[in-house]
Amino acid sequence: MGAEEIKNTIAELLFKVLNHRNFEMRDDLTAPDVEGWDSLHHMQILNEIEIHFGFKFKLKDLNKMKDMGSLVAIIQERVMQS
Amino acid sequence: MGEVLEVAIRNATDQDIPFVVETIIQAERSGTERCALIQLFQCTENELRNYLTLFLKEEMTGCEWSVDSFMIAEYDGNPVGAFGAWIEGQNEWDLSSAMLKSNLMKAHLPITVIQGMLNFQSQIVTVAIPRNKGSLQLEYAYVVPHAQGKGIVGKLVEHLVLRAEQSHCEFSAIEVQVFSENRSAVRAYEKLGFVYTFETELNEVENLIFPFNRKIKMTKSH
Repeated sequence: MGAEEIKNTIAELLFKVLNHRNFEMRDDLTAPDVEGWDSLHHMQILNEIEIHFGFKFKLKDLNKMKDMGSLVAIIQERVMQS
Repeated sequence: MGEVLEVAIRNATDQDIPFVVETIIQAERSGTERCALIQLFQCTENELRNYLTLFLKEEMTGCEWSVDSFMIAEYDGNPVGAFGAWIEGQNEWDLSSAMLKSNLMKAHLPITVIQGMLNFQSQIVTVAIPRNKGSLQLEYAYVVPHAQGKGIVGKLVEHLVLRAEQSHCEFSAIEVQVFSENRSAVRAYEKLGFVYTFETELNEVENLIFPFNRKIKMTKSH
């Protein structure tokens, strides 16, 4: 699965949880850049990603997520493994 | 000045997890019967102990749910007190302690519990006090009842600061967050040189999950 396809899916899941589209899906986008993406909503967003892509993140994956680019790379890796 | 108990201070290890779990629960209660984590996770106290044990067994640093953050005060071979500390944002992942805690919860809590936490979002957001990156954060102090009032918290703070200094990490301030109604804790930190710097308050909240509704940050320069 390509990075752009994954990004588009994440954008839809962000909209589902945060109820707005006031963000640009750049690789260096971080949670504090997006209104409402606090630690509570972070967990909800990750839940949605897991449900959509059909895998469960490990703690080491979660701790590697610094920005959108790293989130997409981890999803690509996990999708390939499953 | 009351009696001072001569305790040995050492870093916590995995063997101390049950005592650290007790420390977290008692500190969350702040001398009351109300524990926010039980409300937040919609669980029993035993289930909370199991969740906290899972968090603490992870190889995690840089937040209050890490064994590495804690130091233990021991008397006669038994733990009588504990206190946690870490330098905010200085960990191998460069993440804030809030994000590390969030990752621990995501990794171990059932989806239904995580979804249920949204019911308390406004309380959590309102009471949250920002932690300054690069400051030494102190969190979760507990001394067993028979050893209270004997200088143990002060001794733990002294050792936590010394340990942070020896880690060769620069920090300009030491911060601690406490409910302002917890007067004995506030007085103890004042005695140690901490001063009030920030306050949050929850007004007219139904189903308050925290022991009190006013939280303050106390700071000591370093």
